[in-house]
Amino acid sequence: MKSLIKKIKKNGDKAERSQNAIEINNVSKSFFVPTKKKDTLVDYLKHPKNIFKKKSDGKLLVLDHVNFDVKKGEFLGIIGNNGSGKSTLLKLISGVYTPDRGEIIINGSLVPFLQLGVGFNPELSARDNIFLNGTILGMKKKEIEKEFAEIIKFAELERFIDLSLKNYSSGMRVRLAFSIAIRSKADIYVLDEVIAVGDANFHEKSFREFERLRNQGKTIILVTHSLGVVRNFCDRTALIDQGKVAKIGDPDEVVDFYEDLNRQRLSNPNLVNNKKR
Amino acid sequence: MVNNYFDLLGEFVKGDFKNRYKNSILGFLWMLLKPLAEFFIMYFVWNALWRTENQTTLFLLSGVIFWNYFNDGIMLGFQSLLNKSGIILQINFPREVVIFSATTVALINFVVTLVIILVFAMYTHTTFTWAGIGLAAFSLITLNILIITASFFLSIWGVIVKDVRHLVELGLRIGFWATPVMYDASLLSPRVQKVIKLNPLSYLLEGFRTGLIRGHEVTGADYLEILKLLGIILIFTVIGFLYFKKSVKRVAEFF
Repeated sequence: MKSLIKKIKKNGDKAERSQNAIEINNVSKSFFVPTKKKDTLVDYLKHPKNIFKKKSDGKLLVLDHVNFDVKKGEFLGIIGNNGSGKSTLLKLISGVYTPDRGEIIINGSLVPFLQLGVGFNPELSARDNIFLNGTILGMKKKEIEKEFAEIIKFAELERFIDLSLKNYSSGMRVRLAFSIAIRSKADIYVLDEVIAVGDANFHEKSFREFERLRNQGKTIILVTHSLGVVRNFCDRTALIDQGKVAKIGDPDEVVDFYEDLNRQRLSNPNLVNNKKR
Repeated sequence: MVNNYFDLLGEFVKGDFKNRYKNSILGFLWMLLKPLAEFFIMYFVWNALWRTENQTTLFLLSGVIFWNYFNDGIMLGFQSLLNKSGIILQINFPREVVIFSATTVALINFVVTLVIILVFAMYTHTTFTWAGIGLAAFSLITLNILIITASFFLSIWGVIVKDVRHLVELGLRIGFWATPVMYDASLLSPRVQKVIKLNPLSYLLEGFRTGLIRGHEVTGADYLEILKLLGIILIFTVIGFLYFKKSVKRVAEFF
């Protein structure tokens, strides 16, 4: 009987697995943090005793046994204070870093936007940069050629297409980058704070694009500090605090919890634990 | 994951060249003008100092362009990960593309200088043979694989330990004189020749030079020599690639 239950559970796991876009299992990540400046050979010659001294270099545990799944077609928001490990988590999901422990399973193609306009070269024209950035985001040359007019149109840069990127205003640059980004073909999009850009008009347009992606069944992970966005757009929200998932679930509940937490900490600074070394 | 491998390679190479010649009046013409100017400088200096005959000039020139190709290839390959650190920190793509694009840039520069030398060789009535051209090409392909192999190791080490840069530069200086670029190895004492024979580059330069200048002397033994070397290099290429793939996962943490 027990084994039967186990079996059913196992099959259930499998069924669930296929519905998950991302599975994060017990992921930990730490970085070496040199607490003082690195010694060169000359330093050792000046103070020979230091060779035998123990290194005071510390290991900073940035993520500590993080566990959660992201379902296919879900819009997941990730919130948390600065230095809580959000960006490291995104880099792990994007494959820029590898976890020390645990595993991350990605089902489907993933395009990360940790920064808009990756690989943009200010000396080159917008035209060249579209191809450069587009291929870095995993598009084929032919796909970019096909989407080219759309990209320019969405970015509202028809008149400036052969201008060097260094002559662009920062707003124009971001519009161009965003416009390329949303044309890239992927099942999963990982976004870091990218929506905090552009004027109100473009902001509005960006969110319509997010809606469009969501309606197409794409999975979106968004790291942001704007709690309003989280409440309005996300299906679920994860709060990362001191390297751990403090709470995950309904956006309103998680945001309320987060605001309470911060209020408590403000009134009682002792609650803030020092990070493990 | 990425099925646009070659598109990415193409964009990296194109971006590199466009970046270099952007905003200059002569633009891509510099690609030809600079090596051409270097050629004339060497030609006239040697002529004025030593009254070198055309055959000697050709001998020296072929050595110099061969060495420059190796030097550029190693330096660009070595810096390839560092130069693309901005992208590597933001997105996951097959990292080896970075090495291939750096090597391709060096190769393109080399091909331009090679054309200049070939024109000069024709001017001096050098007779080309198919066997010779084949040997020269075979040597260059092997050299290219050697550069890629070295880059697999050096690019990683260069990111982790900054001292590697100075060692590489020093190594290249030594390599220049340990390779018969500016002298004829057959004129050296047998003992020194033995040392030179330990340097894989000396075989490749020999193959390239013989094939280019003395095409009618090329025999099957010359091909065999390069083939043996290629076999050894390929073993290291495989090791290097596996090492690169394994180590590059952590490389983003060292930038």
